[in-house]
Amino acid sequence: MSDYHGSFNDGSSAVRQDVSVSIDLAGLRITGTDQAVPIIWPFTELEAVDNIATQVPFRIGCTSWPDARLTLNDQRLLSDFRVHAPHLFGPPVSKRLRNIALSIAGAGLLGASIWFGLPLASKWVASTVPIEWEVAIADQFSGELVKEFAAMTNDEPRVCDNRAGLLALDGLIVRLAEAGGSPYDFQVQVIDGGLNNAFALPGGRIFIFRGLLEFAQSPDQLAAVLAHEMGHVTLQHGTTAIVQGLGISFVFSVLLGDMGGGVVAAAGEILLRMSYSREAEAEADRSAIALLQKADLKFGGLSSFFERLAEEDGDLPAALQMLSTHPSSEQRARLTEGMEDSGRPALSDKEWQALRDICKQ
Amino acid sequence: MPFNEPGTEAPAQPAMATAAASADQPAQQFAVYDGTMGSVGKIAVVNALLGLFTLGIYRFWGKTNMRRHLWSRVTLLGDRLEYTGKAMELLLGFLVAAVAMAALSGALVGIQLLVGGNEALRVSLTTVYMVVLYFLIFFAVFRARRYRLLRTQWRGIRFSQTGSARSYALRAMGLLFLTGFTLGLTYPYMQNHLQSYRTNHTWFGNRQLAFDGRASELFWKWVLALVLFIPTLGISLLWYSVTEFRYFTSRTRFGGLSFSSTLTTMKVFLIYLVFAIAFFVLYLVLIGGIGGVMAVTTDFSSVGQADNPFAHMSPVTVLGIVIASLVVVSLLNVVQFILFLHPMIRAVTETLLVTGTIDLDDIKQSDAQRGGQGEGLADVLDVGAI
Repeated sequence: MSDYHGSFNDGSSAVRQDVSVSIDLAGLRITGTDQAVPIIWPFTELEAVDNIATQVPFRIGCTSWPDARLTLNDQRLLSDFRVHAPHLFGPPVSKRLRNIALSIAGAGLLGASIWFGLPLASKWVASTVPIEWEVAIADQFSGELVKEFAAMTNDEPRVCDNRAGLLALDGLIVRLAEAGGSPYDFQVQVIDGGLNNAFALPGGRIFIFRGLLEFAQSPDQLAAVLAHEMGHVTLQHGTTAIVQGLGISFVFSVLLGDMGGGVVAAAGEILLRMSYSREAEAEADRSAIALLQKADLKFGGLSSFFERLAEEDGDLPAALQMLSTHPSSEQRARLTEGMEDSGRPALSDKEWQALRDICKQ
Repeated sequence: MPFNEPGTEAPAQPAMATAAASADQPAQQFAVYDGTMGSVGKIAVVNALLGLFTLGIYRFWGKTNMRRHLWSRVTLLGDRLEYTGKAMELLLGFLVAAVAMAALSGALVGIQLLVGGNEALRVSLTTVYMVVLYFLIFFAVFRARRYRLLRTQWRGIRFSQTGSARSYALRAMGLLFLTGFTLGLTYPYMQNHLQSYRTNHTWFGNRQLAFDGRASELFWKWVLALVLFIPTLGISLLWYSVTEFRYFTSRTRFGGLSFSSTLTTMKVFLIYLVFAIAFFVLYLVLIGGIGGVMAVTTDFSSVGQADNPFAHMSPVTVLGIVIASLVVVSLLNVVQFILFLHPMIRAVTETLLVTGTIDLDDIKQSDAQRGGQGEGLADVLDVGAI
């Protein structure tokens, strides 16, 4: 057995000791240290500090001698290590590949559980939010949103308050609210703007633009839109979307750490919210039909309104469209297939006219 | 025993061991870095790829591999550094820190939404949050430094850091306010004080490093850098940073060893320049490519008005853009390692000089325990104690 030259740090002092190393039956035999007897490092306890196959000199440690290091520069030792301590060369390729495959599978599982779990978790979190909080949240955004929507048609946002119109509107709201038994206190405002749109915020605030009143052909269609927006409120779609948006941007920044930029987080957020939204619209449709039936109102306005909207929307710039995430009219028609639409009209002709004139001063 | 014994040090630098054998010798090079663009780049590329395929979870392993490599490529006085950290420590620490941060930011968002209408309350809340956030950043930086020092070994002896992260962060916050209050004029004072706190609490084994810099030596240089900021297009700040680094190095001592650096602004500037050019070229090419994909799949006629440019794309397009953005970000990460970090380490190490002697016989292993937690967990535990 030939002796190899090496240097030894015992892990308790910074002194470097010149040693000679030989291959013993049980392990590495290190002589020339300040210890009285030669040190034996068993092969099974050896660990490689450096990549011993490529780096010269390379360092070896021993699990039972924490911090102690043996620095060797004789590559002839490698053949001995290949026989006695193959683990110093790292795990075999098959094990590395298996680890990689397992990690990727784990990441896939994680991704899937976020993809499917986050909407459910958001829904649950939203359900624990008290109504007063939802109202507080909505109050914070409502002014900005109304201004933004009004700006699309270059209108100054003004709340319409023609007395007769308000009376007619309130009558319809009360009828729908009482029939639905929703815990929300619905407050509906008509905004003097040309946009053909309506939106609901968490907590029960609903905004209708004058443009929609002009577009709707009958009070039934307006009642259907109102019922649809009330569905969004009662089903907490807005609150869930906010919770989910926060959750997604958090998950992205957490998972990707310094890798994730703003673009990624925003895109991911909208990606998830989009598929969620389509489902939410369908859900709001179903709840609207149920609500209209309970209030003994015609539900045919729902599909006729949105069908007409779909035709109209095709000519509009995307920003002004109401429909970007709504279900198709076929899907909507299927909801009411085989059902008898026997309800009363939502408003008398006189009330309907008053409501359409609600923005007249 | 001084460290001038002949040994088995790296053959590349046989003169190193006797470098600082006697005090009257001129300054000698202290550190040698022999990492290559290829070796660093290979690890960076593997890390980026596996990071992508594992949704970023691989980064703890990637970071650990990179550190192991970089550490082992730095030779101080003939012996290589060693990084002993484990990826699992980083992962666990990160998870706990993430949960804590989630609770904190969740609480902020919640309160902010609730007090919505009250503008004054909102502003003061945001202020409080910013203060807390900056505190946590300083705090975490100090804790992370402790983690890295405890997992850095040379000749089997580990580094360590005393001092408290809370005290460090409080000092940093106070000095930051002072700097803001004086419109930046006292910035050198903040830098010097924090450098002093960090260095004077740094140990190698049972021996402490010492720093005795004075901010007054930097003050007029800082003023000059501010005055020249516009005429030099901001390069004067780079000059100041390099000057500050050289000054701090020259006021650092370890036992009988004192240090100096001959790093030049030009050297650092060229590294920045090459990196910036490569970064922007790559960025433009990649972003252009993504833009091309978007142009094919999206109707741009209404983008100007749309509040959200993603609303009119199919989920597949959006998914494609998310993936492409991830690829861009990780590619830029790789470029950062190859063209910035690697040349920077080389520039700093090859200009680092040492004079004096130290008796290595006296240096014993540090009492500081490594502890089982990573950078994040330590942070979180101390946050909990406040």
